[in-house]
Amino acid sequence: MFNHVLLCTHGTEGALKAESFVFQKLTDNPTLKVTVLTVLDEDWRGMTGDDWLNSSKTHTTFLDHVENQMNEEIAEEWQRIKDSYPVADQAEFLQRTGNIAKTITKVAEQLACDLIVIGPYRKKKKFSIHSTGMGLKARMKNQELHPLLPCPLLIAP
Amino acid sequence: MSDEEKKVTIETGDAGKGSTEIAEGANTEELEERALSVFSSDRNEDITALIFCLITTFLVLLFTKWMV
Amino acid sequence: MSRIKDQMPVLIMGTGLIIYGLIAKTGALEGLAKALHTHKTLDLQITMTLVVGAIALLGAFINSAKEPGNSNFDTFVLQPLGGIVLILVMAMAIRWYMEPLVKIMSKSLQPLLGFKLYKVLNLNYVVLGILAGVVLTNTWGIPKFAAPGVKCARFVLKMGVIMLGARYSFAELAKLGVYSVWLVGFFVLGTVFLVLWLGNIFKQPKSMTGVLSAGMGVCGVSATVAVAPVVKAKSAEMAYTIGTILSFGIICMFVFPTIGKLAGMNPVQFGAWAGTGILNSAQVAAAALAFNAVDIKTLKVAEIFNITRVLFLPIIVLVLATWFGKETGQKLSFKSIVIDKFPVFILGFLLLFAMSSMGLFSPPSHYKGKYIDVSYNDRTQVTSEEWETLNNAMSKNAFSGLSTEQLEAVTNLIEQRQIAGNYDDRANKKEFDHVGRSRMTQLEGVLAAAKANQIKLSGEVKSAIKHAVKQVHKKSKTVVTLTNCMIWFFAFGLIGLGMQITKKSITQAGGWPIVMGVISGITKATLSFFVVLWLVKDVVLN
Repeated sequence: MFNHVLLCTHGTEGALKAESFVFQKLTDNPTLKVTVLTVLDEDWRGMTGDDWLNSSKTHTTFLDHVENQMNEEIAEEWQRIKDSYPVADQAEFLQRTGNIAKTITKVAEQLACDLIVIGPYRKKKKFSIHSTGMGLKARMKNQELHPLLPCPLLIAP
Repeated sequence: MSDEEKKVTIETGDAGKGSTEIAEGANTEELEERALSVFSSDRNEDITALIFCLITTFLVLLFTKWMV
Repeated sequence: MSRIKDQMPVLIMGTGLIIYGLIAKTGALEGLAKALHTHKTLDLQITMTLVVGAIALLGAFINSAKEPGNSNFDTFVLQPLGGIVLILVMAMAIRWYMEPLVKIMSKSLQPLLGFKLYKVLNLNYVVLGILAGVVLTNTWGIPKFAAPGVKCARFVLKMGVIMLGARYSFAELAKLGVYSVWLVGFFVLGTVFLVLWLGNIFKQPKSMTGVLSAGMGVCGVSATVAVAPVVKAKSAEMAYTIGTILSFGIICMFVFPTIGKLAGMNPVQFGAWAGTGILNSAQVAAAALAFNAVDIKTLKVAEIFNITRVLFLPIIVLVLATWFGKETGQKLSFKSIVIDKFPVFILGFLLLFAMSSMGLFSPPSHYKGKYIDVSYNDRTQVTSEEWETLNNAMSKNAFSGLSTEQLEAVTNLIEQRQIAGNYDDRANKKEFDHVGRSRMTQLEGVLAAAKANQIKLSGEVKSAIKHAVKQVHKKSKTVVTLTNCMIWFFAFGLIGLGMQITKKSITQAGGWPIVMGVISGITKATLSFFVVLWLVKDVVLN
């Protein structure tokens, strides 16, 4: 039914559901192409807050470090996906930086995807001191995404 | 990550350590500059700040001390 | 066409400023300004709005007429112009309208609330400016036309720090320097080790405790930014740490001045406490100005502590690098840590300090721009009503409890209508000056005695003597103007920095860092509070 699915994931519980949905239920179709997209929130740029003492060099080193760290962590994420779903080997993996809703729709448009799969919008977790996974787990309001959609959106329960 | 993605080198000045490589398809609009300041290096910024201060001081001295 | 559209906000702001300036020039705003108690700044308002408005319009026209280029003029003047004008407009609106309005409103709310809102929250123009910056970023975001200009905030704040150098004396710098090195040294290292120890207890990864210890110990986000690559922090650790530090710092900015006032701290004590306990250096400056925005004593002390911390930062980076490096075997050179990170603008601070010490701004006999002038001058005379009061009091023998010298000074004040030396000695400047000054000291003694209820004087007599004493205390115009420039620089810089604080980076606070951060931050703030109260009692700035 679909030819090209864009799976948006960043390793949260909700995203895990989207992953399992795509790789377990949709991959019966052998011609289906899956692209896994991880969007890095643009807000990392704002993470330096009101720091003004550091030289630009220190600043750049920091942002480089953040980027490398993110790339490493994203690579780990992708490895985890590949390990848990053998079919995922055929999928293509993409990483972008920017506003989440805009980037998702833009990539979907560029790749001519006909379905976007995301995890469900979850209630904010209660305060927990056990940190999990990546930093800046971004949450996106669906109403931001909806008006931009170039193709159907599927929310994996 | 797809390694075969094309990269382009862009000039980013001193602060960005000369030049940097970004993916050709990167969303440059969203990437924006990372620099904190409009100056290309900290030394320039600090020296300009000092010169501005000296000019301000000179003007203040001129109008409140030397000319009155 | 689109270029004109881009420049529209700047055009509007420029036109608005010029219209405001012209209206103010006609005198139409005098009533309003009097109601807001800003009428003394009307001249400045007119000049500033007209000049800034003209520059804004000129720049906007050039920007809309020509293609954006790559020349120095483009990068340093034309492109940042919009943002600079925006911040200036915000600063002016806050200083001349919002701050007085907040004061008036909280005064009228006092019966309802039982306290003065602005006093409790220290809502002066600095705090309001930062808040305005934070609100703007998190609601509309920084407008596109203003983005390059907002990046000038750091530059202007540096100018403020450099200019501040002109306000120290050798003795002060030496004394404050010693205090700050001890206090900062002790608390920085103490907090770093406390966090590392906590991390050990809670069994947290080294990379996280490394980042957090630097952030809690030295200068908040700045230290985090410097240390994160060194200890190879994970992204979640950085996000949590930065979020914790930013939110802790913003709370401190409001809580510190209030506690300081409640505890009756003097400016030196508060400056020292803020400089030790508050994490981010911009927030230290903000808290110091929030504690006392008129007199810059607090800022002076706090800024010395700030500079000491900046100089401590590389040391901490080096220490953490060695502590962490044992595992990775990664080596960092002295150059890459100390020389690359040395802030050059501190040399500018020292240069202005040297210029001021050489007596360029005020002769050495003046104390930081304040001096006593007992020469004959119509302007230093008491008013005729005051003279009448004093004369009547004298004839009614109201000054009976005074010593002979004090009585002589009062008699002479009535005779000469001002504090001065003997008329016959006026050729001998030294003698004249000496006699005049000693009379002033005697009159101050009279006021002190009256305050301590040793003698009884009517309120009118006291105010007449007070006025006479005040009249011979002059302020150097140069120093006053320089200080005003500096305060504008700080206000500009802090508003701009407020715009860098995004809601997202604050709400990231969480995980173990928030637990360890709160423990160590509160420990540090509390301990330094008592240490400062106990140790710094005797530093007097004049």
